[in-house]
Amino acid sequence: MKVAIPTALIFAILLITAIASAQFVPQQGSNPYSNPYSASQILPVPAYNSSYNPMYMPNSMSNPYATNPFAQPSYNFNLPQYNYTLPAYDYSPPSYSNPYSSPYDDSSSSLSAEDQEEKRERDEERKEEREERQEEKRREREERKREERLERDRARRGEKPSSNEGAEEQSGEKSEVNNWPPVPKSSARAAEVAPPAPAKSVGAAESKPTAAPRVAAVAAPAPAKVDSWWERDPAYQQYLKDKKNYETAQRAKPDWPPKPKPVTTIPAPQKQIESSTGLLAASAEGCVDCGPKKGPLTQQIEQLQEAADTRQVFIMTRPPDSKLSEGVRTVINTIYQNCEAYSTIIRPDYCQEGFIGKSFCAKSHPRAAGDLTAFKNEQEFFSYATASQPGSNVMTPERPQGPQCRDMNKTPPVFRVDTDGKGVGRPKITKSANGKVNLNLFNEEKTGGKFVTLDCSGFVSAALSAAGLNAAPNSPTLQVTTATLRSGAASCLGTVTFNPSESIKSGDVAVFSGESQHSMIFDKVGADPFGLKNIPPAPAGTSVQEHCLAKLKLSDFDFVIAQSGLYGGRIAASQARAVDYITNFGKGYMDGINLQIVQMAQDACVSKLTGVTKKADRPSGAKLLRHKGSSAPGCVRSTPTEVVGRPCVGSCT
Amino acid sequence: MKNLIVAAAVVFFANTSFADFAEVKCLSPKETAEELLNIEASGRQHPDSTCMEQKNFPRYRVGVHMSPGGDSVDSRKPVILTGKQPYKIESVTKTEDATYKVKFEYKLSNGSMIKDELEFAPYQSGELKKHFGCAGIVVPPRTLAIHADCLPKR
Repeated sequence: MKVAIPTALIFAILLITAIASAQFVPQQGSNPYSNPYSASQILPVPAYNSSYNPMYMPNSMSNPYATNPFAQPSYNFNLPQYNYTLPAYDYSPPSYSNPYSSPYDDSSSSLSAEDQEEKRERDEERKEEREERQEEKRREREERKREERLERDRARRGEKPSSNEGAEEQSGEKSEVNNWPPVPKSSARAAEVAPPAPAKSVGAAESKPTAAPRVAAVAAPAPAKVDSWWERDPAYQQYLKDKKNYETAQRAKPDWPPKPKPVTTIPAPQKQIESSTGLLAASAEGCVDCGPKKGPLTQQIEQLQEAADTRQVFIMTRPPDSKLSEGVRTVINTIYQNCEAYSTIIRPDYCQEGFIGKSFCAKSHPRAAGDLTAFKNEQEFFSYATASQPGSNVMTPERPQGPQCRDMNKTPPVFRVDTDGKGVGRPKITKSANGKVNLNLFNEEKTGGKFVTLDCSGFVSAALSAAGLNAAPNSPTLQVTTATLRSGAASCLGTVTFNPSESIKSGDVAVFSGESQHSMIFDKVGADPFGLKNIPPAPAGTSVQEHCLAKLKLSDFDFVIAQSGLYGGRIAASQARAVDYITNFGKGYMDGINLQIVQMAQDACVSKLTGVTKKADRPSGAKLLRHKGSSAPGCVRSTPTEVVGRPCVGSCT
Repeated sequence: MKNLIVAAAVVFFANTSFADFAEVKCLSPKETAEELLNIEASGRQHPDSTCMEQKNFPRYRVGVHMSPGGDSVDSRKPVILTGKQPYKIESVTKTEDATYKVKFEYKLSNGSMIKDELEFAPYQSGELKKHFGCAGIVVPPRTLAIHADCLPKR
């Protein structure tokens, strides 16, 4: 008895302790990981998981699996429930193709073949009529709304109501956007987002596939919601007004409308490189970028330029000829979700003639300078960026080019510098657990969902990553800045040395200093990029440096600048011919980056004429870097980079 | 007579047009340095300058400097200059790259002296002169400065 009482007491204490721990551990709001052993012993895993709610976790416990060895299996337990909905997507395509057929399928089986055919035709006619009616109503509705909105805005500004010509055009544009894509977009998007079907479904997963198509079919035809936040912006209203005035002026011209001309295609890259042997001399002495050119490459460009006159761009279908150029192509095509973006070379008058981009250019900016400091605040920048959209960015397609494509008109890619360390202007480069590098250019969350932004070195970082090149050995996620490029911290890139037979190459990265902190990539580089073949030797007794300055011709420069910068009206990533950039960037003033590129040409010229090698690195000027490639260990990755948004432009990246 | 007047007008406007600078007469390095410093004092690096008009500087293609859009923002605060000739040139030296390094100083209204440098490339002929004018500032002064008269009137 004496022994029995303490034993009972001990058992009672143990029982109370067990009950107490069982009550505390699984409650929401408590810390389930403070005593994992007691929790796992007392509670079955599913019950424990059912109370799992990350909302109640303190910040320090944000990763439950790192501290709780029992949490992982319980999480997996729930996975099949998530996958349970997948069959709905798998079964949806038949319903998309003909959502109205199913109610009549059974009855039609009793009809003759002719009757069935007739009935089918009737059904199709009815369906088309119905769709037309719906479409018409929807257009009318939208047009009415837009007119009302414009009237309201005019009334607010105290203006007289004008003709509805502009509004009609706007309406037409909008309805096109709304119509596209008719159906497959949502299904494809859903299929893209959903993980692959599980090998084995749990519970009643297989029992409801028949209901799924109906749900999908009903949900699919709903028109995509039009994001029209910019339409309320006063700057956008001004844009519409200016656009209307511009178009009226254009129509008044005798040669209106301009005749579209066919776009020709440049030959295959190998042939083109071979044919681009001569320099691109201007026919008129001292003429900058005018008159017919002799070089084959320039002739082709001009031919295409003429063809692309109405688009304010050149079309240059020359494929990349270096590893980093491939990265440039991937970045440019992906960020605009457009296979034509890489072939689009911004013309110097992109910002200065015509309406396209006008409201977004330095020229029309009230404070004259187009640089970031000219904007009083973030809001002013957004206002101007908004005013330029939609339609100012020639590289963004009017509507997505395929079901896997994002509509970049909703988050237009713009140039923007990370001024406050929030990551604006920088791509997201991460490394997953399986060792693959992931590049995501779509960082619109940094600007509240409004813009995809890229700054100059963000563009270089993205191009390096997309090309599978590291900036520093074994550092696949390292992003470069102008400062790190200049300092040599990006040690996979070495300084270029000019020699008598070689100057710049496709894929070279140029870094600028002084008041013009900037970086860019030289792309589509011709055989004689600075036009040095035409420069005679310096006369005896004269300075070779001065001789080169006197003889260099900007119109002979034969390469393209790929960058994210201000040229072309703040678009996020663009390409320009070197001659256009130098003579037009910042109105071609005699300062900054234009002259630093000229100095680079001067150094290449001196090297050629004197036969002496010269480092392309001026302490207070430009520095030219070239990726070392596989010659430097750890600088090239063996696995390709996974680029978010690539499926849209997979055929052209 | 009428044709003669028209021809004279055409010649006059052709010579005074600033579309290109092929025909303008360039000055000595020191005189060029003085003119470039005047351009700087007019607020070449200041977005709100009211003096950066091409007609004021017939030998150079001028305008407010435009940042190309790098990944850093110029946060320098400008100093305000006063007087007719705010800058005093100390030396103009030719470098081995055929540029000229100009050392100069100026006095602020509070009495403090600032020493600074500027480097320019001369374009005496050819296409570079035609486009940029007689010279180009390849290394600007470190300190951002603008003459008081060139600031917008508040």
